[in-house]
Amino acid sequence: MLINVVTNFALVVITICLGFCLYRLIIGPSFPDRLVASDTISTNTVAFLIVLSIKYTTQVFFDAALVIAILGFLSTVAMSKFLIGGSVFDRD
Amino acid sequence: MTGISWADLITSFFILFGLFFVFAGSLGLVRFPDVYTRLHAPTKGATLGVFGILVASIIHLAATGSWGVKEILTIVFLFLTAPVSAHMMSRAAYITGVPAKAKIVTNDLKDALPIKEEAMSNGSDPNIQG
Repeated sequence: MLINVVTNFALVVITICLGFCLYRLIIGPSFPDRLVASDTISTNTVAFLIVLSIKYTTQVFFDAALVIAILGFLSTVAMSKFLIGGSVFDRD
Repeated sequence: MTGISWADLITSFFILFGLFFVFAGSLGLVRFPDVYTRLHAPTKGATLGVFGILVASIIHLAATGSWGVKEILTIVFLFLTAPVSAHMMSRAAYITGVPAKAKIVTNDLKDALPIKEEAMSNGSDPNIQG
């Protein structure tokens, strides 16, 4: 009962946070702003999936959360490397 | 049994704890003035918020009788990778020449790290030509 109310509230608030990130992703004046917003979207999606798994008392969302965390980190690093050097992998 | 158990109370407390930090991180992403300050809110606040929500999930799973190994793995992974990605993003912002809002008093990177020349235009996207 209490868990149900709290997780519903948490899902609403995390969705509002995703809206904030989408706002920054659209109007962000420079490319690194959009990069920060994209990284925050992946972090918030992990939080969303964990709250969903608490709500339904299941473990099926943890794999998805872990994969989204890994993909968010890798895409952030790859886009940063692309911005810095113009190429993702260094050619020596 | 009064309907609310201690495990539910502790789980709700940790969810609300994490939710506060996630909301503060995302609000800081909108409200801070430039990219170097905007980096701090999500990469520290939101990571701590996800930590709180994962601790709530571990407690909830332990109350229902199973062990959350993947949550511990996710906590370790997030806490290892959040500083690395923050460093890479701020480095990319500095090298592509994104201007800071306030005046930078000391700049130790001025000699060590050159700013790319073609990206000096104020705030425009340097990788999409025209």
